[in-house]
Amino acid sequence: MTWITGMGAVSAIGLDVASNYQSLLEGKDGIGYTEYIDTYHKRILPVGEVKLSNEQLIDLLSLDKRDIYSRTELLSIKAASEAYAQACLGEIKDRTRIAFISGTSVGGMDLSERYYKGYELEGKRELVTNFRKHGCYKHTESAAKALNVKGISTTISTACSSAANAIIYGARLIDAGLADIVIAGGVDPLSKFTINGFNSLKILDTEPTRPFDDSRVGLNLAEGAGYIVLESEQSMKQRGIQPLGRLLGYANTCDAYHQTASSPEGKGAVLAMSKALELAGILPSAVDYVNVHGTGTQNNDLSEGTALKTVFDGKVPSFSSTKSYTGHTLGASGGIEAAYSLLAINNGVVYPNLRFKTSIADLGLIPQQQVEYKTVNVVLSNSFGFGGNNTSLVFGR
Amino acid sequence: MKLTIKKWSAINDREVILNGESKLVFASTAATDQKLEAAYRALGVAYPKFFKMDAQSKLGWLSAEYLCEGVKLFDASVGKDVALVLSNRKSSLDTDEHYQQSLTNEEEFLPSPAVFVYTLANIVAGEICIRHGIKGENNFLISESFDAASLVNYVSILFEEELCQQCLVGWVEAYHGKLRSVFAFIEKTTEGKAGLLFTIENLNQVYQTSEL
Amino acid sequence: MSELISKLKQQIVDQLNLADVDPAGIDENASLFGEGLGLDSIDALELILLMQKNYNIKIATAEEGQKIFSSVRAMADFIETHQKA
Repeated sequence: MTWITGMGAVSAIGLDVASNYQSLLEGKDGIGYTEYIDTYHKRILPVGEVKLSNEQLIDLLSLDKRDIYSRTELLSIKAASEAYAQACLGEIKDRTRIAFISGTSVGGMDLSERYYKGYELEGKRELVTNFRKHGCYKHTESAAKALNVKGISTTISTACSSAANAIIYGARLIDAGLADIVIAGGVDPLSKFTINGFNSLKILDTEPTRPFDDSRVGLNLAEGAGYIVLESEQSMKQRGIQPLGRLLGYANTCDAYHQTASSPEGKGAVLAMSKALELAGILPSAVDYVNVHGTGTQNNDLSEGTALKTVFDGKVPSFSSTKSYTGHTLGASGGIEAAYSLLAINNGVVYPNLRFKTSIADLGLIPQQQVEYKTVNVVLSNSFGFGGNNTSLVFGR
Repeated sequence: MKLTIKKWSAINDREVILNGESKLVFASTAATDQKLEAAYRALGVAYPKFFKMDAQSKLGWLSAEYLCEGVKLFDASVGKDVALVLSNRKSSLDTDEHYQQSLTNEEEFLPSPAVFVYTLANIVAGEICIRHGIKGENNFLISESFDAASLVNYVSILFEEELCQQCLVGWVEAYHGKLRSVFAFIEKTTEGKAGLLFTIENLNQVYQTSEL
Repeated sequence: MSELISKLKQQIVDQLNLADVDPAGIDENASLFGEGLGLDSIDALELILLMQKNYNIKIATAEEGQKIFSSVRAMADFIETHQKA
């Protein structure tokens, strides 16, 4: 049995869980033009940027100013520290029983791309030291060190389902007795690399995204980090700490259809949702809210919507894409949305899917359109990634 | 539960290895692309998409292809799943650099979507799943060096929880013309049958044996 | 026109890494997607790039591209019309 005893989130709509929650209730999105990235697209493509510069983050986290940091590291430490503090992990004596599992798709790319031109094209070889934070596993090392966590530490890179897969891995470590406590989630920074990449795939909207709307044309790229603290029942009881909820079920499957596109019938998504509910021992009818992947692209929303109808046999429960607030935070999304799922359960509330007007013609699905207070016992959270990597998590009390 | 390494394959800059035996030795003067193409031609299969992949995906695809030759993979439709767990150090750095170059070229600013697609570590896993119809769990771990303990732990849990009945596990990295892959095919140990047990020690042994 | 068509065939093979495809063997009237050459959504985006790089023609969306790329002949027609304009 895996309990959840802490959560942390930083995104375009807030620097901590409380401010994220406030924005969700107020219907305030964080989509706008970038303040910090000097890209050709800076006044063309809106993004979901965390509203702090790297310098401000370094100050806020009281880090050594003489060192250099990737934004990935800074966002990861920020959100992981919040989860850590809520779960009171400072009091744990045996640090080897705490694991840290983090997902990311680009690692320290934001830092490397600033020095790449000088190094590669202008021959400034002295810049080479600035690449030492590039590796995907580097932010995991840094955050584990910052939190003095000495158990198993692993980095997962499965595109946009990275954080959700880190949470699955964390739950398994607890089940297998390899850790008592796991900080699990993910992080991704905005970078010119991803902005141009997603733009070349022609799936970025020049307006704030409209997930599950018939007129949707694409996503808004975003950044952030989200972590939850998973804990064994024994450890939680021994420490006498109050849980935020439980991870009831989870599944990862492969769509095995195309490198980037989802299959029209959402085969992998159906399998992931069904298997996660099966592991949780929960009937689809018991799900109160689905935090959908809902990127706002033509392909994802049609495929995911079709899959939802299959899994819920046409009776799809209340659902929304909170990416209409945050934008798509890629490898971080599963962690941030895990926090939103737990907030929904603890506060008895579901969030609207912003800017929805018209159902997708072939689907006829209407997402949640306003803040609604109701009993939320079970939340299904979807994270689907390129490579056909589909993950569903089931949260409960 | 005991697990067995039923087969293993490896590709390095010199050769393709299957279960410790050399299957194909590359011409010493061949460039990376030529080596990968030679390994593909030697298989005698037609898979035009192979040529659209980046070097790392080609390497992983080939490793899985050699490994799965003559093996019957379970089909998810009968409730038996195949899982795929890969790892490396550099993620997709080789193609990341290639893509970054296209962003740096201001006169000819035309970033290629077909290149960008491969700037994710787990795309190679997706390519293998598409080829073999693998619908079970697939994951990609990044570690500073070959981490047999993490891989053995992860895969063992998948079998313990009955989330898969067969698993492909390995390391795949192509960077600046250097090729290095090791793939192992894992199944439950059949009682009374001798074989290579799927242990941290044996997986490390396989990795080291196939070192150039 | 026929010169443009054969040039296009070669450019398509190069741009899309169709290693085992003989450009001369491509039927200019056959569909490029689905059955034909078995191209997918990423290939469609690469063809947009090809048009921009070689013919200085900008195509805004993948949907617009899909009509123009129905066959090699359709692409050639579009290029000719565009270049006359």
